Amino acid sequence: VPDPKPSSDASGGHERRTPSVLSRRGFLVVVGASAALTTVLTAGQSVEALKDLALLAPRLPGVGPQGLPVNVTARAAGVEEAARSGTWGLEVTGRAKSVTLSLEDILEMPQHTAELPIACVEGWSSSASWRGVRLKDVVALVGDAPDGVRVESLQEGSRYRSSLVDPAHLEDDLTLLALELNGDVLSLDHGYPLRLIAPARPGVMQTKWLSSVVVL
Amino acid sequence: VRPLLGARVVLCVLGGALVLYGLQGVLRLPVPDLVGVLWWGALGVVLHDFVWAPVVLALARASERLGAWTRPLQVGALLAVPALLATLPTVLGRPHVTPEPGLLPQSYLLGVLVVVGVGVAAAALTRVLDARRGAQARASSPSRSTNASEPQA
Repeated sequence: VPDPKPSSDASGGHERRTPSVLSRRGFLVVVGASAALTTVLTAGQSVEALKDLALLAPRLPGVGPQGLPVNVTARAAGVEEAARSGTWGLEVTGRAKSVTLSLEDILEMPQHTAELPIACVEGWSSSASWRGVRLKDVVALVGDAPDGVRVESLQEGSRYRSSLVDPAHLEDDLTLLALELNGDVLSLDHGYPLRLIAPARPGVMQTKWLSSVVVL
Repeated sequence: VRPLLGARVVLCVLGGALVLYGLQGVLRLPVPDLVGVLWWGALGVVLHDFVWAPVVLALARASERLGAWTRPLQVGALLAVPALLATLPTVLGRPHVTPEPGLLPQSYLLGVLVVVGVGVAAAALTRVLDARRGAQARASSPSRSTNASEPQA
């Protein structure tokens, strides 16, 4: 924005006139204040210490089931019944063979803990402690997955019901099929009985209520 | 002029440091997705330069024609509109069909009122400063026609 031109208009010029737009310096000061205001209003979605200032945040760190926000509830996803059913099992389909794991089978595998955030594309981000089995350990039961895997949810008819896990994510030690959140069994809204949690993925790809893992 | 130069150097160094911090963060992601990051950045530039900036420039041109009385409005809008644009879309347009724990946990009307209030307060301050500056100018140079006013905003 250019400095306001001294206006030499009709009204005579007897007096010093206030320009009709801000000066460059004034503009920069106001824009700086504006950026600061927006930062203060939004930072609290990810930085817990600032959450009292996040006056217009749709979610706040620490507010939600098990102290963690959720984006889609079990009810909204229509999975309450399927997730609670006693017959749940995780189908793991490899290129040559397949297995179906019960909850007990999964609990008997080596359990690992990872501190990972749900980083939602909405702008909020909230970390939690997850415990479960490594995805690569589960996939190893059915052989190699050089092209990665697809995980699928009990949820039907949502574009986020499945997500691809590329080989780099698959090999990462922090990529878990989680059974626990912050020391307790996953709540229904956080993906009970089993959900994916991996580093550096948007929240919508941390698929919940898993029903199957398919080697690509 | 000197302190201004100093401030600019500090701002440039700070900005550069933030860019480097962001870059190392991207490169150190456990699973770097540089193409995705580039797309995201490019889309931001396109939206900003070809949609948002033209709208703002058109409004600025309109205010310039309307006259100095729009200055408080400009200040208020510069403060409140970006803040509301950055926050309200994630609050409005929610399907409130099923109650969701943790969703919309606060009073958003209050939030909007606070942000608008900040804009109104800044506009009022601008109005007062402009009026005072105008009065001072008239008092100090009643006959001369000087136009080089540089509001301190």
